[in-house]
Amino acid sequence: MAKSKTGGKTRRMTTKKKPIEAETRRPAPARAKPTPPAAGGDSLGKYVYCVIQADDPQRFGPIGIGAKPSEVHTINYKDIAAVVSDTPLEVYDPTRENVLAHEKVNEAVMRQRTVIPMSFGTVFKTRDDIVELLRGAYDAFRDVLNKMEDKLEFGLKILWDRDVMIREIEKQDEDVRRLKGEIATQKGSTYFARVQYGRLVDAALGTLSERYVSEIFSELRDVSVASRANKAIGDKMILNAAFLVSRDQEAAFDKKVKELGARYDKLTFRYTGPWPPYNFVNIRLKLERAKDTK
Amino acid sequence: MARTYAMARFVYPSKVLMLRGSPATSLLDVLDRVLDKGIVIDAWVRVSLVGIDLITVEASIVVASIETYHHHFDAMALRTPAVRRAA
Repeated sequence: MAKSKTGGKTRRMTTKKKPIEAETRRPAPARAKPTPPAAGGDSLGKYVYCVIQADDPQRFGPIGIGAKPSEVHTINYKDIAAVVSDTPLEVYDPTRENVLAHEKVNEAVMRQRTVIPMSFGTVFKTRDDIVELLRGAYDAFRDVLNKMEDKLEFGLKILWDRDVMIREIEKQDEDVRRLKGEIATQKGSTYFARVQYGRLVDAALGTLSERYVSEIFSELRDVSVASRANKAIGDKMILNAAFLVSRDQEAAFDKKVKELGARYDKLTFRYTGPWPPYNFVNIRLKLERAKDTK
Repeated sequence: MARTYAMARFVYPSKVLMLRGSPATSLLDVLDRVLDKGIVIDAWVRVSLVGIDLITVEASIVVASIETYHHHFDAMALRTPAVRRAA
């Protein structure tokens, strides 16, 4: 849904009030009504999904972001291109629909090409701006496209049930078991026993998760090009990783993940992909006005 | 936090949950990626782009060499958290 700026991120707060914004606050009517746009030309901007290698203009169908999905096409510069669709000039909030639309286009393009994904929510005003973007960062895009060629990203999150693991630890660790017994039977204060027990269990959990993670990682290392560990979310997650895999190793990687999932039957594997290589591309662009256009 | 729990319960029936190319891909997994990864345009300008006719681009950081990620991973793996203080 093409909503304007309600709720959302703090960064949107910095939006400067500009005449054109007032106009785009209600995107649909703005498009329907013959309101004269503030700047010359039409009031449509271009939403950018990703950058690809392409010698000729491409079309990917009417799967664009927004309430009325428009044709996804390319804007080309030399042998690279931005994949875009026309959109009202507005800020897209990361709603479920918007975010999935962004991802869906990336996935569709990825079926045919190597993509460098754009982060969510980038709208340019004109075609020329996008050509300028491609021209200005051409070397960086070219370099990354070469590095990412025929590679896919897979996500792997590994979760465990902490209580199950603690029971496991109690079974195996004599000290933990003894302390637990003391806490259960001891008369009077069990404070010190409980502190000691907590410390031992924590340490054992830490060791265990490290062991699992490094074992699993070393197995996947041979079937991937690169990997990256992101911060684990919540106390059930022991690994939140992304792997970059060549297309020709995809089957091998896949097989290995399933094999590991079966072997570590106390862990839960959450395996996703293929994704565009979000976790392996980091291009920060600073855009500036070439001149004061005021 | 609540989300994490919901997700975990959701995965439990099968130990390796494949979400490859399926429409069930969770929003969380998508959000993890699209919000601040890939090509990122300076946030302030992203909003104020509206109204800029001509831009210059400055690629401040380009992709780190692929090989370094393995090292990065090793370092991260050594201090995997997931341990919460037992109350």
